[in-house]
Amino acid sequence: MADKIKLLLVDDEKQFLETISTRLGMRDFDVTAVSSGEEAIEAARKKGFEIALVDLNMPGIGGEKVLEILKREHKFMEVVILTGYGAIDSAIRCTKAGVYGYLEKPCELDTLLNVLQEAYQRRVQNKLKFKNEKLKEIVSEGAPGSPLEILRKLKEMDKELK
Amino acid sequence: MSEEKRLREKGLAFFGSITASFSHEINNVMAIIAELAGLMEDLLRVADQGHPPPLERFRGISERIGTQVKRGEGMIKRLNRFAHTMDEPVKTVDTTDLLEDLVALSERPRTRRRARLETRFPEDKILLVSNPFLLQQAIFSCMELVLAASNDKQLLRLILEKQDGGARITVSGEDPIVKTDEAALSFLPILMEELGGKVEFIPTGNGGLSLVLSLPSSIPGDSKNHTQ
Repeated sequence: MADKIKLLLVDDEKQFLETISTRLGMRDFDVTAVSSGEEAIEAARKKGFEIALVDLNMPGIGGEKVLEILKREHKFMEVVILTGYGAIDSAIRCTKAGVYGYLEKPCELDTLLNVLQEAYQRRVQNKLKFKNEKLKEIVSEGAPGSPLEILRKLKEMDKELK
Repeated sequence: MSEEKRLREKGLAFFGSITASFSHEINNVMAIIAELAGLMEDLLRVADQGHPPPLERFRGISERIGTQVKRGEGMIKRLNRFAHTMDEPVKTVDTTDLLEDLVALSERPRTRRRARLETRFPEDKILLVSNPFLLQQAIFSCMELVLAASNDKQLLRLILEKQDGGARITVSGEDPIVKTDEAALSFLPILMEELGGKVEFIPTGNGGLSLVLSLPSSIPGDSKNHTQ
């Protein structure tokens, strides 16, 4: 389980949610499935997800708002939209909000798996990039101070990486 | 904009809104069936690796596919009936059937607002000689108006009653009005005039909105042949 990608799955169509969750769980994903935008935001605050797969049209908080909140609150989380209601204007809005992928239902599982794996890779790269920049910052500050000060900065960095 | 043009444009918008949201529902059914079929393949792949095939799970999945196929069939039939309401401008309409179809067709817009629906239809059929498309549009407009006037999660009531040989349809909300769609409110009387009826906006005791449509047994002055 430790090596699996932590995936948050959000869809108000419960039958779909249950089935896709089982299928992804049989592969490389540790899936948490929720059926509303509110539950998704709440779940993401409690558990560190790496990727979120989000439906667009849901009662209450819709997919676009969920995307916006997840991206704002979880720096390195990648979000993929999976919708039965795809439209160019919403795809553009999602892209501007930082979505990694925008897929339409029904979607071939291989296509979905590829996009989720790529999204995960991007997350890993972004975290590495961030870590390198932070380390460079610490070094470029000249005399970095006491070992305790360096440790404090490294801890701060780790906190941000979570 | 002329009244005729406004009616045509609003009619197209209504048709588009219903078909778009309902085709979305059908697409959801297709997506579920696709995933269930995929899950069967996944389980077969596991069985191919020497594990005993999980027959009970196959049975369960097969039943779920059957349920979704039936759900999809029902949706397509309703959508088809809805499309056929445009065939003839005036025909004999069973109002209960028409309302039941509309309730199903408008489920998505309601659930998006988390509204609950309570219906009360008479046991006896109420047949009207009317324009089924405009009639559905008028009732749908009322539901939209009531839903848009309040916050999410409200209770929507839809009541059909016999009245002077015709029918009385009441659409009301439980919650106080927080905003009203003036354009839609002003369009409703135009629609009702086309149907030979009238609409009344009645405030409910708690600040909510109740829309009452009175419909004649047949559209006055209509000399076209009616289908039974």
